[in-house]
Amino acid sequence: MDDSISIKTENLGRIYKKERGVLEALKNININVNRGEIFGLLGPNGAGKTTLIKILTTLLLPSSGKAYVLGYDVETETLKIREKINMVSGGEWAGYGILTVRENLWMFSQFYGIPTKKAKREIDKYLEIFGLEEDANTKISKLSTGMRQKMNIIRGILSNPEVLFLDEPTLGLDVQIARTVRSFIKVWMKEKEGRTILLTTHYLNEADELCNRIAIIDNGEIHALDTPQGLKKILKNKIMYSVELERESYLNLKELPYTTKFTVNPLKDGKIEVKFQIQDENKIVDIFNYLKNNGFNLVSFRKREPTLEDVFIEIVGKEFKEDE
Amino acid sequence: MGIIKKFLNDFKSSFYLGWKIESNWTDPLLFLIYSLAKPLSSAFILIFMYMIISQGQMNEMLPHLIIGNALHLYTANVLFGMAWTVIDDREFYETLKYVYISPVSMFQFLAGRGFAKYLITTISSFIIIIFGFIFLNVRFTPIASWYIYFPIFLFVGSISLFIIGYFFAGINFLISRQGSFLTQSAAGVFLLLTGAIFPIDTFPGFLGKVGIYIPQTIWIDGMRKILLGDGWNSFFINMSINRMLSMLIIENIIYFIIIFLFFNFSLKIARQRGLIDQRTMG
Amino acid sequence: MNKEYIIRNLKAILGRAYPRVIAANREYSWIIADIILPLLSVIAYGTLYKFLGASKDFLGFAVLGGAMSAFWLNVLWDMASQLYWEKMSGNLQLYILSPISLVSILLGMSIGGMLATSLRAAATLIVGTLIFKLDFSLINITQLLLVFFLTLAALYGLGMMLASLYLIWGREAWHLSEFFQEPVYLVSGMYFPVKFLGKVGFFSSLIPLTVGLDGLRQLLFKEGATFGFLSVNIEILILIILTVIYALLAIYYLKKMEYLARKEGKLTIRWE
Repeated sequence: MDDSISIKTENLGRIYKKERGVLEALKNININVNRGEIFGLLGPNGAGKTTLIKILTTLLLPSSGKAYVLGYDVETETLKIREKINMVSGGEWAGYGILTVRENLWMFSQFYGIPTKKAKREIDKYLEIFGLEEDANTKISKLSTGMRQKMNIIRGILSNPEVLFLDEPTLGLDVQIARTVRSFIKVWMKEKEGRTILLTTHYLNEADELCNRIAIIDNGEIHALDTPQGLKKILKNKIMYSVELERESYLNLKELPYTTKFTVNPLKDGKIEVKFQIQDENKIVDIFNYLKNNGFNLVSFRKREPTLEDVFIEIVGKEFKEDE
Repeated sequence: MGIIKKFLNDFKSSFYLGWKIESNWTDPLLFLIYSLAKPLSSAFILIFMYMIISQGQMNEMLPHLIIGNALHLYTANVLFGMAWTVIDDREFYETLKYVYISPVSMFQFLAGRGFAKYLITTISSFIIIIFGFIFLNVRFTPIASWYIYFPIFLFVGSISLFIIGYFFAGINFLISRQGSFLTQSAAGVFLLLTGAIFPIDTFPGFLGKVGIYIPQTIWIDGMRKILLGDGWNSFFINMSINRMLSMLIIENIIYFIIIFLFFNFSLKIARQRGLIDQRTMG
Repeated sequence: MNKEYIIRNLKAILGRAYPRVIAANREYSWIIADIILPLLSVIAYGTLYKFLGASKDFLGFAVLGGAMSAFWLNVLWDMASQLYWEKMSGNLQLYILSPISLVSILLGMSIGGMLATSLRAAATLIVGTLIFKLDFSLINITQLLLVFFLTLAALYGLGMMLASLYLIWGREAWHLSEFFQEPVYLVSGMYFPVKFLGKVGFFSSLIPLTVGLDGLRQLLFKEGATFGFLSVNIEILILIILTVIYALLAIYYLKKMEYLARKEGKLTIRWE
């Protein structure tokens, strides 16, 4: 395998047996992740993101096809892979509540054979970076969600992995801590050449901010794979509008003529936000008239650049709910 | 009537949940084997111990031992079942907080869960007694009108099981998962002090008297008296069954009042300290 | 298997033993729960023997059985079931992800748990001896130590083998530990000499506790030899064979079960 590629899958498939029938969680996945890149997997729950990560981290066997991490086969060369990777999941509760932050981190460092002196040094360094030095001697059962996740991330990078798998790392974190995590990811990548991150998320802004390339996955299939800018270019011929409307509470917008796609999001005080695409900009007045005639009062409107959400809707054909 | 209906409804739901948790992890046959293996094994240990020392001579002690063991199972299982519900639902299923904030009373909820254990234990206890009857020639020589006393004594004694169960459940609201071993080991205390496998007066002095103040002691010896004609604790030998029943009822009332207050106090403290949804497992 | 791999696994053993050791020093409730209260069960059985008019050596059999039960419970609940609990908490996937053998994790757990277990066993023995005023007749200290340590080695090997089987059986793991607890007390002769179980004793000799306990009784009590199942030397041989067999089976089944778990995808599904 080419040295510039960290992760490679060839027609990768995974089937789960259910009580009735089978579930095809992954179907013919073909991706190449380059060394030194942050590769994003974007998709709703049940898309297959976590299944793919589990196969690549050797926790799960593929049902068909092949997968290689740093040139090693995930089925037969697991030890070689495990020496060079690590994984951090969102909402992770691993560790022992009876141990302190420092002790938990030290314990996990021993599984990678890190000498105690070096481990302690690195732990102290990362505790400081993440602002956890005051909680270093706190039992982890007493940590908040955000602090726990910071500790989990330190655990993941302590072994200095060549490939780091982040499975929804900012899940459930507040804005500030999520921002800290994202900033750290960028810094960590720059620190040493050749580090690779495979990141799964369903936070669109996170994928947009961090990833060099993004694969959009749904129902076990990759629907698109490109840089964020490249993905947005799919919609270069589509004109996007966003309007804010006032309405009576009983009114629901079920159709919107002259648009190719539209979504409705409730806002505060009974208002709604409608995002839509049109191909003929001349029809915009007709759309406003339609809304007015159906009881909707226009509060504001703006033309906007396509976002990843728009791309997602375009490609997958359904709305991406961030709280899914 | 509304209160009774709600109580029965809540009780029914929690009983159903308890039954499913206990039995739904495998098929009925395996569940039956599992439910019988543990109590039968502990009964056989006692029977073997007895038979080795008595060199196979069956005398009037064996039936007392078997009945004592069969009834002690209830104490161990119901007590542990109710107390462990708090830990299990809080730490493993993480549902205790949702039950707590629902209209279902924790009191009814635990009673339902305990009752599921009670029913499962009934199967085991019944099998032990039947086994003794068929294979060990254990014969019952019940008192007259046993058919009146048996259900009443069984009922009143069973109430005492739940009362004690509330006590340990109350403790578990306040302690971490590690401390739950206290509950597990408490069965050992009851084995020792309730005359289940030997008369309480085997112990000298004060220890030999402590058991009198535990409802299970009266219950077990009362059931022996009803089914075998006599118990084996000297304190109750000359006591009428009516008097024993009165004693049991009085002790139940006293324990109920104290433990009811303690249980509510535990809930209050747990709420104050934020322990209802504490996770001490990870 | 290079030098680096071996060192990493040795570190992993130490790392995994650490939480067990720390727990013993931070949560003192185990002193009450694991020492004082279980003694009550042992005292109950000893008192039953006394009530039945048994000789002092039989009280000693019960006390020794109770002491050794501590190790059986440690094997069942802190080893066999442990990987299942680790799966529940999310630690298991991190262990498997790590470049070490699961055997190291299990060894670390057992070594760490040994402290509390040994204290519990010793406390049971000492207090039981004081209460029942037992008399010991130390027949052969070399054989005694050999029997004791071989019993532990074989027991923990069995525990590691069970751990891999539990891993794939999932939720049933807790019930399996419950299931094995009392029946093993019975068939291993924990509270009475296994000789009285007749031919069943030959089958139950597959449980290291059976022959181990029998050997210890023969080496510690005057009547031990009278009620002994097999000679001590044969029991030592059986323990050696069991140690080797269980160790090999443990390694084999751990590898096999990890493979099956990866294939069926059950390693990380919490409720399975």
